[in-house]
Amino acid sequence: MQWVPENKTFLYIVLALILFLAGYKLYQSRPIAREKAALPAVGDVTNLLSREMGIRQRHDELRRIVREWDACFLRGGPREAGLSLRKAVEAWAKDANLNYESTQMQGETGENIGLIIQGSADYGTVRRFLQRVESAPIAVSVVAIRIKADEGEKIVRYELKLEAPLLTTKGGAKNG
Amino acid sequence: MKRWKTGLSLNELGWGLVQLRRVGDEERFERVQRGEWRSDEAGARGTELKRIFLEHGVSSSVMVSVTVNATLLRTLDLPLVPEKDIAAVIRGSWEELRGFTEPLLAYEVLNRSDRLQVRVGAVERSELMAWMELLEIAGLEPSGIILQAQAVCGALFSTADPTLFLIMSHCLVETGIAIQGAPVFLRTIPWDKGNPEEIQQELSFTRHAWARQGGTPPQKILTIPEDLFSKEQVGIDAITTQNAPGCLEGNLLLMAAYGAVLQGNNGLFWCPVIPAAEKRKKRRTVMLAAACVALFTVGSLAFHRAHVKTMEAQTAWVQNNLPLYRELESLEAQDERMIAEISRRRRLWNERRFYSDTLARWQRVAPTETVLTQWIMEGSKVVEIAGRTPSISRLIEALGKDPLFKNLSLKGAVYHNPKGWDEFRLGGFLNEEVSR
Repeated sequence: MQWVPENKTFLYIVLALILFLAGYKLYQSRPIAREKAALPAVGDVTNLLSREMGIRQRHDELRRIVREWDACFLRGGPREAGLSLRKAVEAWAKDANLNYESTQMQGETGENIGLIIQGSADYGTVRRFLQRVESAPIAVSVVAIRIKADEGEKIVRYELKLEAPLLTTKGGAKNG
Repeated sequence: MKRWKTGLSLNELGWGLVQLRRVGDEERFERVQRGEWRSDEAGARGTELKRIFLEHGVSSSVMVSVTVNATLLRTLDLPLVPEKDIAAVIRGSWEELRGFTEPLLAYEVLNRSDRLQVRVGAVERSELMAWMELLEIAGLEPSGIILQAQAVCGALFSTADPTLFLIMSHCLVETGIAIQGAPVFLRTIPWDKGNPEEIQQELSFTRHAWARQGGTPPQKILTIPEDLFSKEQVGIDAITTQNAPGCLEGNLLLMAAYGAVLQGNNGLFWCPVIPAAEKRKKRRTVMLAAACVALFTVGSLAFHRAHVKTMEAQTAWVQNNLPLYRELESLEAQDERMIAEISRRRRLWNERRFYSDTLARWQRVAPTETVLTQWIMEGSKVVEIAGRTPSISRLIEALGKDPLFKNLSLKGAVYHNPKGWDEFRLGGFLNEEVSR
């Protein structure tokens, strides 16, 4: 195996390149170079400053949209949101005149908060309750529904599972 | 091509100046001037010349003709040698050079075939350098030096036939053979004006020397000035003066200056270097180089300084605007996060389910007498829909028409009870797109 070629031009070029790169790195490692590198380029600053008005307007508009969306979701962490959901369900049940036997919170540590409500009521009342939930201006859905009716009976056994997304999960940063 | 050409002739008595100006293809006399030296001292003569050139604004680049006491001009046949060796071969083979203390050679290659034919001129170095020093004092830059005889022959004489010429000036006789205006044989001798026999001897010598070289005997004889001797006095066949331009007044100095202009840097000429001038030229070159380096350095420094200043100004500006820049940068980063959050919330909002709508659609689709006993759904999955209907086939057909329910299918057997009802159990999935 021939490690050094007869024509050493290639070696000289490589050596020159290594020296050049070493010199360039040395040049870059100067304090002034480091200081300059920490600063943004003039073009970038000019570009950003020229768009200041647009950036601020866009930022305000986005914040307004985020605030609007805030009203559509349960606030706070799982516990706070769970409490809000429970209160909302109580209000909707009262509106729909729905009798319920039990409620059970679910998923207080996940991305969603859930609540299972069960009891006996006539079919129309259950439907009214569903409509009340679905027309609410917050992001709450009935994700599971179980209705059982005995033949000839007007009263049905129902079990509804409601779920609402959490904007702030446990241990996570608050968005927006 | 130069627009102006200047010729200067110098001899012991005075100087002649001729300047030609090119107008189209024609050259016109712009200045014809002559004068006698006011001093015998070389420095004063040089100063005088300098004043004249400065007064008239004449270019210092001139072709100069001079008179030199010790002169030889011959046409020699040499063996073929490289160009750089020609001077050495001439010095070695030309015996007549022995009469010179320090000969200064000039040569012109006429022919290079089997033999090397050169026209060679030799002058005494000290004499030529005396003229050069005068020119140096005058601040002139001679593009070449020729002998007075060369200049006069060039100015007056252009025939191809060999012509014997005799030029008599102050204490000096130049005699030789000229062909086509250029001397091919020349001798210069000191002359006492009162002794025509010497002239006769010299002419005779020239004839014989020319004959020895195998040259054709000259038919014409040119003497300048022609009124110094009668042809009987010098024993020549004819006295003939060629037609010179009238403005030259038949004057030897002016004719020599004119001849110098005509010859220019062609043919045979000397171009000696004065040590002082050479030193000055070297010094000028060094100074020019130093000036270039200094200019380059100053320019580079100025450029670098300007660059540094610009950079400093830019850095200061950036630093001044840095808080605002960082704030805007942060706002943009927040915007990106807000856009992602808005997108996420929109997605979550769109994932809401509407079971009441599903129930309403079931009531619209299913046959009127159908009774539900069980409705169990998890998400879009229909775990079980159970009930009874007068005709299961009508129910299936009706459900198939609604895209929401078309993926539902029967689970297990359908019981037909004694009262005429079909008891059914359905399972499957709601159409996800339709159910939202």
